Amino acid sequence: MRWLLMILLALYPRAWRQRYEDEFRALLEQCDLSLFDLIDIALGGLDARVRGFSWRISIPQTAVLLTSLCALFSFLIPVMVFVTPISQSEESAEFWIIISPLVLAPVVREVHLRYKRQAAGRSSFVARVGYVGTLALPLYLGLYALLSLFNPSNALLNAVYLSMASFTGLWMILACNLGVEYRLMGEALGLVGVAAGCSWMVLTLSTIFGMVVPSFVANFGILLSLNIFIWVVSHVFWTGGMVLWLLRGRAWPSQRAV
Amino acid sequence: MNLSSLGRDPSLLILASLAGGEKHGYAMMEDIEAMTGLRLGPGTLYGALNRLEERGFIEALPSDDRRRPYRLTPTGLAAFREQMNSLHQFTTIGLKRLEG
Repeated sequence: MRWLLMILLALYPRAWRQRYEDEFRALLEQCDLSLFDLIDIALGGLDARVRGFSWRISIPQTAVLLTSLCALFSFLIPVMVFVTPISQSEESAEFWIIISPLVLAPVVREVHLRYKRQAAGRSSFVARVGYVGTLALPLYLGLYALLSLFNPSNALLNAVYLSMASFTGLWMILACNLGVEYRLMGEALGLVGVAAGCSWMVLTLSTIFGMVVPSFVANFGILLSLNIFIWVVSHVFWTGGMVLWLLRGRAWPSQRAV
Repeated sequence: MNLSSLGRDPSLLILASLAGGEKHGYAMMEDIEAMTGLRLGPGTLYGALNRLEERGFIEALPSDDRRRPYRLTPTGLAAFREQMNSLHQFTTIGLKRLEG
């Protein structure tokens, strides 16, 4: 039972555990725990992660805003890839070199804040992974730009693009979580965004698998269309959350009754 | 006290329990079960405690024990009174309509 409780407690964000773990353990020691209680503890952990735990976390608003801008870039840049033919010409490489500072500037700022221990240092696991994701995305973009410059085979470029797409799905989930955690998005909106990000990621992985094993999908075109559709939906939700936040101001009204 | 589903909100139940005096988690669970027959799971209880504490409705008191007692803040007391008045108004109107 002890190891099971340890696993269940690991579901809670670190900041939550720092604040409540001792007294929570004391409570659990007093209770005759049933299966219902174990499920309740697990759901409580997931709720704390999805809802976000903001106990005494000091994240500068600018850092959150810049992370949000990175999320928007993660949408805009692949869109540009779609509208520009993937011909590995020097012009396309130049385009990436021009666009990359726009992505890198907020990321550099993020790193600066992190080292000043004002940003991710005291935040939860999800927030920290979200920040790392923000840093990793431009690395992917840089790799893509380099490959474009050296004119590799289409297969390699496609592989990098699809893995970048897959990564963006994961990042979407974390970004939505981060948005909820710092009250940038409503909880319902964040949950829909997370769900869309999950679906999109599953579809992207299916697409990659479908490329390797063509018999996996009867109609590859439909799968790809669905993939792109969900990708757009997930980003629309994220952007929608941002716009609503900007319209409503910093203090997002709570959706809970008490 | 047989509360309707409206009154089964864990946050409201905790406020009701703390309105009777400061308590730690386990005491709250027992008190709520005695009041309503409803047993809150540990995850539900601490999720609601976290939300109430974030909103400044309750506060933890210092304790030598691992179990930390909580009490209502003036804001929490006002919010609870407002909720109870709303529920009272609602039930009064509902009962009158049933009698009429």
